[in-house]
Amino acid sequence: MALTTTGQPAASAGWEDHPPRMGFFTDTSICIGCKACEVACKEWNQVPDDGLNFTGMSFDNTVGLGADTWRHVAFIEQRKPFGGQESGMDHEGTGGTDLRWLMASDVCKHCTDAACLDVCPTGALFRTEFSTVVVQSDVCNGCGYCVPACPYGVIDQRKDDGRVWKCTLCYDRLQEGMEPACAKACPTNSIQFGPLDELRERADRRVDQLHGSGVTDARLYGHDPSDGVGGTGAFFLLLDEPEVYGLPPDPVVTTRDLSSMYRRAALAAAGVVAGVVLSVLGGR
Amino acid sequence: MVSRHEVLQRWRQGGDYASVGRQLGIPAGRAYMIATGIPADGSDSLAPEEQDREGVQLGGTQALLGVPHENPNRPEENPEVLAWVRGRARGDLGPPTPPAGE
Repeated sequence: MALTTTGQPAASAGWEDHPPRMGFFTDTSICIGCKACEVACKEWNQVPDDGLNFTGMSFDNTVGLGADTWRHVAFIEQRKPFGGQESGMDHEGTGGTDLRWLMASDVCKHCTDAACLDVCPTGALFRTEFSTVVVQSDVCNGCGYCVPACPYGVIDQRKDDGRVWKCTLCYDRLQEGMEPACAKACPTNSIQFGPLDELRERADRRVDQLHGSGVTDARLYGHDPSDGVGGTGAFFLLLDEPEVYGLPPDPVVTTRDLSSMYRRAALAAAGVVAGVVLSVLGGR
Repeated sequence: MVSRHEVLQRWRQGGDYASVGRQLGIPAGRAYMIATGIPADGSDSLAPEEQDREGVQLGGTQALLGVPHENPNRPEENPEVLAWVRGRARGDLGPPTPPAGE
């Protein structure tokens, strides 16, 4: 499948007269870590439990995205002051309040250049008319090629049946004109859903507002159409480096070099064939 | 597929979203979302710039989804629910009655 760089992947996937590209803008600066998004996602999509484990990682007991966790709220504890937050924590004994929590609801990025789509041999993964990426569980044969192809480590196999599962951006709800369950449940509107171009404008304004308020670390992640995956359909406003949130700092579509690799492999094969022919002819 | 331009064109001709959806063969809610970029089930209040957007229907769009949005506790519609709520409220008023025989 050809890589897309137009910003409207639905057109590149063959959809004519498609609706606008829809996506998520997750503003982590107003996430309160309530996990309503995780619960709403599980309820609507009937996602089974991910194990009832105590990880000891702050309030995070699901650790990351997986086959049974399509929304994941990360809790990051940092020794940094955050605005007027009075945490009562004083690590240095100086009377300071040096603790802040960063909370962020992670999700499938619905990349513009989606490697999972490129490598899927059955067509189980497909691009919808809304430019989102969806797995058809009844077509997936469980080959697992898409799992290492995802630069974010989002897509995952269910151990008991081998098929892969991930966020569908509630494709069934979009069909009816409803917003995805996580965005619907978010009480602070940290998860915003809408046409991607409008969300990008809104996110730019929000970053300007935060910078103007002195939150100079605020930055967008995944909004840039010229990044390694052509921009993502789900992008984020972060308050620290992406690595802090467990996100790759510079993700690249893993199939980017496939065409040049195929060309080189073809050249090498042609060289071998030529060598064999020459040696056979030369031996006569 | 149905584009935003196509939905808005029909909407401008005077059709409501139910009829636009019927003409295009898509649910009315989806027609609304495609035209405006706003989900039809949106419980969020609209920003000023959204209110002025072409095609936006002020005053609620949940009816476009075809899901019931009436109060299910209206007595003429569901007397059993109302009776149950009254019973619960009555039970909360006084201390629990000790079981017979004690």
